[in-house]
Amino acid sequence: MNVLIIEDEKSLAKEVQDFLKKEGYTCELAATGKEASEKIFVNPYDFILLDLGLPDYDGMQLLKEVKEAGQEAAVIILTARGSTDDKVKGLDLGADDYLAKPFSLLELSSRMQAITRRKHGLKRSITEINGFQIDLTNRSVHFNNTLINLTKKEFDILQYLLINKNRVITRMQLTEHIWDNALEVDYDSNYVDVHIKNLRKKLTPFASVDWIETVRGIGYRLNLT
Amino acid sequence: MKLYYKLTLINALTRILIVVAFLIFVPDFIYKAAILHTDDLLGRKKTEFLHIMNKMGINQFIQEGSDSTYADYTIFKEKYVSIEATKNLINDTIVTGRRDIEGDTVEARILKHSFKYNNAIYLLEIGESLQYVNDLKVVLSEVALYILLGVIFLTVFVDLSVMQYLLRPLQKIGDKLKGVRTPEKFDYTPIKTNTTDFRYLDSTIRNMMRKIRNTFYIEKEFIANVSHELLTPISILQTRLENMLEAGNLNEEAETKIIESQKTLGRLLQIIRALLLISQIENNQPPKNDMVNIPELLKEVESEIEVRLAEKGITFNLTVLEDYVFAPCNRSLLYTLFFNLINNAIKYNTQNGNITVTSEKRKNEYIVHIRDTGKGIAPENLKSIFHRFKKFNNSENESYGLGLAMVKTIADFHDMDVKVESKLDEGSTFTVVFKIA
Repeated sequence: MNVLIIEDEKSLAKEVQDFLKKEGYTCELAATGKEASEKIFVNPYDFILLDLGLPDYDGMQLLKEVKEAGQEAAVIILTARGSTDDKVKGLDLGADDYLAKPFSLLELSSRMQAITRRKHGLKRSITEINGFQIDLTNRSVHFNNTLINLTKKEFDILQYLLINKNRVITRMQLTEHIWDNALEVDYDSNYVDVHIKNLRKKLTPFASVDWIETVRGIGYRLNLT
Repeated sequence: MKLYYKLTLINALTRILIVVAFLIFVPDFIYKAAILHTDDLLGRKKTEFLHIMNKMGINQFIQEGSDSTYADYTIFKEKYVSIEATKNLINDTIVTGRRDIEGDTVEARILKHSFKYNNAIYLLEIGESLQYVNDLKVVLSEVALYILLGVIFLTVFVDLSVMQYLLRPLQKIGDKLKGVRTPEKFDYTPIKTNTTDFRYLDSTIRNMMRKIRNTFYIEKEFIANVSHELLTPISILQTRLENMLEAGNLNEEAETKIIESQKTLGRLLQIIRALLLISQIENNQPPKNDMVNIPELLKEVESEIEVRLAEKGITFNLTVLEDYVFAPCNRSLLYTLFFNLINNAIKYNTQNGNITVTSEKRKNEYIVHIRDTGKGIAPENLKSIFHRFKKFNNSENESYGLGLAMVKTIADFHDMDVKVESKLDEGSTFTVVFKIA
């Protein structure tokens, strides 16, 4: 899949590119609005990652151009401004998602995956792990038709681990993902441990949960090999 | 009291003073004028009478040399003339006196004149009743009173409307200022008036508003720039560290250090976000379009924070009974306010402590109390507890000293009050007061 990264900060663009390449994406970079504008009219993309704070171009204008060029690309706005006005305006103009800087690369790729899934139609995806049926569409977990009650955060964590299965997710990445309220001062990644502990406590009575693996000092991994 | 009421009142009072003075002095003045006029009349009557007497002889009126007297008066006794014999010559005098005329006592102005006639001395008295003058005095006073009262009412009424008309520009300036929360919302069209003072006032206010607006604008620009300039490098660092971890080719020590660095970066990010948010609120940037049911919001915070409560074994009593819908407000800011207060109550609580949230509805206020059984706050620290970067508990907790500053900023933004009471080793109570309009 082709990704256009429109970002004037070259080192940031490079980090994003490095990460997405490993995830199997083909990336092109545009450091200015002019460059981006030209590329948009020539090449078809699956994803356009758009930084709103370009020095030579109004990001919103670029968003309009994407639509005018008949691009099918999904646009994810990346911005450091982080005001709700920008967010609303961007989404109104047809952006598919919005990420405030700084963002975790894993969060970015998870959002991209989510958009891909959405574009290919809402298939009901039930994953079965060790007898647990995890329904990502209905946000529920069953074991032999018994519903297991999870809190929103517990399910979010399980889902995030599942989407990124077999890879180590750090506490910081999990914290950022489940964080609703960016306005809070005191965010402590240790609370993730408490959520995981509760999650395990709820699942253990039904079957073993050793597939939720703690990676000492780093974070967690859903081990499905 | 409004200016135009004051001006009208002062005008009315001065008029009343003048009228009172008028009512006190005018009757006397009229009386004196009437007396002078009467005296003049009496003098002329005397001359006329003497003329008649000289022509006709005194015997027409009185027997010469006898003790008899002559008196003549009109039917209503308002004028009389009398002659009687006397012993000494006196100078002409005019006095006010009483005379009995056929059983009636009449107050009169009396001219006394003595003259010699054939070696006898006679006293002539010509009297003019003062009844008329006294009546005039009373009538004039009454009429004057009514007329003047009427004049006062009329002028007060005219004053009110004229003042209101003249001072309308001032009223408009006041109205314009009343509704303004931010200089952007100010109405910059000049007020129509030909009073130079008001024009000057209006243009000064407009200029000041423009200056404030520009300053706000510059500050907003500054915040936007700072946030961009600071958040971008943090962004680069964070993604770089993430990529390093993802590579998976590091030894354990390096991995741990990178994770520690990520945490530090996270902390820096939180501080910047908090400061940005505080500045944004102080610049009135966040929208206020929400209606929030406070008890429901508190339940929401509770469910969000349950994990932290459970971890410390804290009993959370939420007994907010009175429903209260607060509008207009910013929901996520209010959420942050209560989250921070309850989170603090957990952070500074003892293991297995208590947090009690209660509400109170008064006439003009809705009050939420958040009481904890924590360490409490020393009295000398209570005053500055809401200041930025104030930290008193040098505990194991990672605190940036911004949580309560943010609470205060959010409360101010919504015209709410936040108060704190505390006793060391017993706990603190934070009180949030919503004003019911």
